[in-house]
Amino acid sequence: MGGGAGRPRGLAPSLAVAVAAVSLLPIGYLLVSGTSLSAVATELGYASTTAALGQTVVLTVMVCGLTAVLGLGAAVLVTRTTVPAARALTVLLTVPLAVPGFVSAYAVYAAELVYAPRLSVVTTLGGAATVMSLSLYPYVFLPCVIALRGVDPALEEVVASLRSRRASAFAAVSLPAVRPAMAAGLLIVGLHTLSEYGAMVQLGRSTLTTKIVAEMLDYGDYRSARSLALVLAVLAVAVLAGTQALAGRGVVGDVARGGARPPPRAGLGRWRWPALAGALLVPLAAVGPTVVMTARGLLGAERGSAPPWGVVAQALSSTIGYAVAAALVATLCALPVAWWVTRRPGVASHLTERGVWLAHAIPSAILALSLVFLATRLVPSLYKTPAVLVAAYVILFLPLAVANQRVGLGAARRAYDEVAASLGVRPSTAFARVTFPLAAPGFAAGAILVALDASKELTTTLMLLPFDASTLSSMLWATTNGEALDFTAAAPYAALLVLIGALPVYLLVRVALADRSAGTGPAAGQVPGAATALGPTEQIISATVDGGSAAAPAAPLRPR
Amino acid sequence: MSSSPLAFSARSRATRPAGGRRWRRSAVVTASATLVALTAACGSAETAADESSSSEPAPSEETATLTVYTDQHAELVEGLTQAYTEETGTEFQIQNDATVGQIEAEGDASQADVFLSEDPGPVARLGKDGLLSPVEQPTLDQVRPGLSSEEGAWVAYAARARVLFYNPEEIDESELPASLADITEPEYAGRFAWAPSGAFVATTQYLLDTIGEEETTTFLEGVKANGADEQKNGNVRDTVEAGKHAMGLSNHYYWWVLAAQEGGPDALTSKIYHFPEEDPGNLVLSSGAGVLAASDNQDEAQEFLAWLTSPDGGQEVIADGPLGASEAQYPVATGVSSSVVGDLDEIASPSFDMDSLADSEQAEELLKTLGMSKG
Repeated sequence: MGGGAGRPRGLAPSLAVAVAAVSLLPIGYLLVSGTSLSAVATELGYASTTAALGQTVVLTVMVCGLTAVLGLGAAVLVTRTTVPAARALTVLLTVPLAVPGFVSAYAVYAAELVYAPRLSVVTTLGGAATVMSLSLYPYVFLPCVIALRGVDPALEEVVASLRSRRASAFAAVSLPAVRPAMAAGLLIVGLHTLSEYGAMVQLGRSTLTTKIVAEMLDYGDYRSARSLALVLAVLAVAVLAGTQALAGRGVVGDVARGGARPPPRAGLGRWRWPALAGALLVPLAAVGPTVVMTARGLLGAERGSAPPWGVVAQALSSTIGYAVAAALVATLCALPVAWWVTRRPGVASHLTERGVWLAHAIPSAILALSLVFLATRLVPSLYKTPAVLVAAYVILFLPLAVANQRVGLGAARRAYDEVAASLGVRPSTAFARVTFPLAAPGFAAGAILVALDASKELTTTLMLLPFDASTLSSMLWATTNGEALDFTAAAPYAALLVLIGALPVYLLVRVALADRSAGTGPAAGQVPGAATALGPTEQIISATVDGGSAAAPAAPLRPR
Repeated sequence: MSSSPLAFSARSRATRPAGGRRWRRSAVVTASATLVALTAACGSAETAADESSSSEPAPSEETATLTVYTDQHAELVEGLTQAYTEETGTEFQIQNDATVGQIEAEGDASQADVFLSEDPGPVARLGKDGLLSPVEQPTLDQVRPGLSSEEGAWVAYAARARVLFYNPEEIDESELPASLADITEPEYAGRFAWAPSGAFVATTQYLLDTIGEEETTTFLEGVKANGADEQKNGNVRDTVEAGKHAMGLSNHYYWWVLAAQEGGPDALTSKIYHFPEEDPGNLVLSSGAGVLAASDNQDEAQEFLAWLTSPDGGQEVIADGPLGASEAQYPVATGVSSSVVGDLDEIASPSFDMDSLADSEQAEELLKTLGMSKG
């Protein structure tokens, strides 16, 4: 630990820079492995490429718009109205997080062919945007729930006393307060949409990512793929800038936040039950096709042989093992980055933190290939062992951990450290007794999200998985021989993937709903750039937006 | 396992950018080593995987372990390798969904001994790049002529045919086009699906080589105007089966994969149609096997290829194996025909140099220009 030994204050920055440097290695490889502006221009000269570029932009805008409406609408319903069973509804509305995007897309497509073959809705632009939005809206919903729960009701009461309608008080206070949450959620959604492969192909959409993957895997044209990846990176930066603008300065949000009382709920009267039924349609539409097609596969299994339970068990245990390992390592690696940027915000710390999300600006098919190149040269003896696969997950999903830790550390303010120091407590003791308990929910939320995304990851998994090992998603993929998910053979894996995803989803909702006390307190604490008194989930949002972290892209499918 | 972080540190130091400050360098090394050590620790429970990927070859035993890289359907490769293991005791490590790009990125560290491709393209590309050892002549001689690499860089072990799927509820067999070229006629407007798959690129390349760019362009524009791009062969099959399209251009085995899932050929509404005369719509494409030149197991790999193409070995598995495992591929050894799909000679395919697909840049360029490329 040479760099930090002599000066404890320098340890976190050194480690943070090192972590960012390691996670930037794949991008570095992409840049030096050969592409040029003229090559990019050539690619953009093809009509089908410009059409794909246009469609990528349109789809991203549509999905962001739809998830914003769904996510915010659902969040308002469960936090600010008297809808029945609000807590259970919150869990159900989060469940789509447990289903990999490519599985939902295959299921919707198959369901339409089985039940309404001539409908041809899901493969239209609007249909594809809807399917994507239904699987991604929880990333907006959860942060909005946290933000809305944290709004100080006193402010709305003041506004209401000055205006005639309650709705306008909500618009004046709560909506601005929810902007950072919304922006953070949309950043995750936008980057997911940009880098989604499997679902887009199944839904018949041509995007930059489908072009990139086709160039690599169907045509073996890696140079074209790299050129297009640069264009995609530009779009990713645009999403980042756009969501940052949406987050705004957060003045209203800071002031409005932190009431000790829960905000008021609007009475729905006799519309309570219809509202519940309407809200239930959203998760039903999102996971219904997957559940129906999986059940159909399981029930129809008598025509085939019994599932190979030994293989299923092995895939399940390695999926859990890799995901938990990735969550633990990512938590440790994220700590110096999150600590530095919350405790010593500045140009260097922010640039370092942003470096961490850059790995998400390119599709994981390209990222995986650069990891193959690097691993075989840097750590050849570990190539094709779980170590390199877990390291890849860590690089992919580190931003989720960093973003959430920032929120957690934001809740445990620096002033507390200083108070502890003034009382003669050693820094390590202060961390263990003050900071860590306050920041723990953020740490937990980050680790859970990393584990969840790692368990769904496919593209990198296929390339780096140890020989003869398997995970639930690689087994799912292996049933796509006929270029469509065989729901008979895939059913056990799909069911297990959703089931093991349900636990982290439930934990995530608990963290989001339970944590109000950690976030309460005066909103005056000044941790620049970071939220002052946020619930852990809100962290995802605000830390993401002003720090530039992004969620990992949903696992794109390997093409044939 | 303990030496790995050290190796990584050394490499990090060697590759650090010039001018980096000392603390930064040491931090990178420390963090890198920590990351790898942590992940290594996390992974060490997976002992089986660790052993199998040890970089030091095990002391020579009676049977080597062969590492197979493949983009062929996993079940077919599993069926073939398991049968070989039962016969010879040779064990396998399998990298599914492998690409030429992965082998190139691995460079010297690649453990691949054998590449089993689904389409001719990847294995032809490996041959063209000089990454394959020549296949032994007796092995090549077991296979029908015209299917393997003309230079002997790789050998065909299975084949698939381009076909037309049709749904009899939507179109009568007597109304089907007599030739692929006819599908651009007005009477078929809006009645068929196609997908810009590798086999479609191969067909395009074949047309370019035989009828020239102008006529190929006219034909492709007709396909684009008359047909629906369903992106994937699996979608072509499923939409024809569902009656959304009357016909679909695809590969024969997609239909059989669905038949296996649905309980047999009789469970399907759609049917397979082969154009009656020799026709580009019947194009037969090889799945190829090659031995990597960098392999340390040349003899064992060549023996595996000999078995793979032998009538009593791999060809029997492909010809008579259960539908789910054989994927209804055509066996290619002389005199061997499939109990499911029949004999390859029944397909009126034009002859075709498979190695011309090593670089089908001309076809891809044309498809891109016409807005008909994949993705």
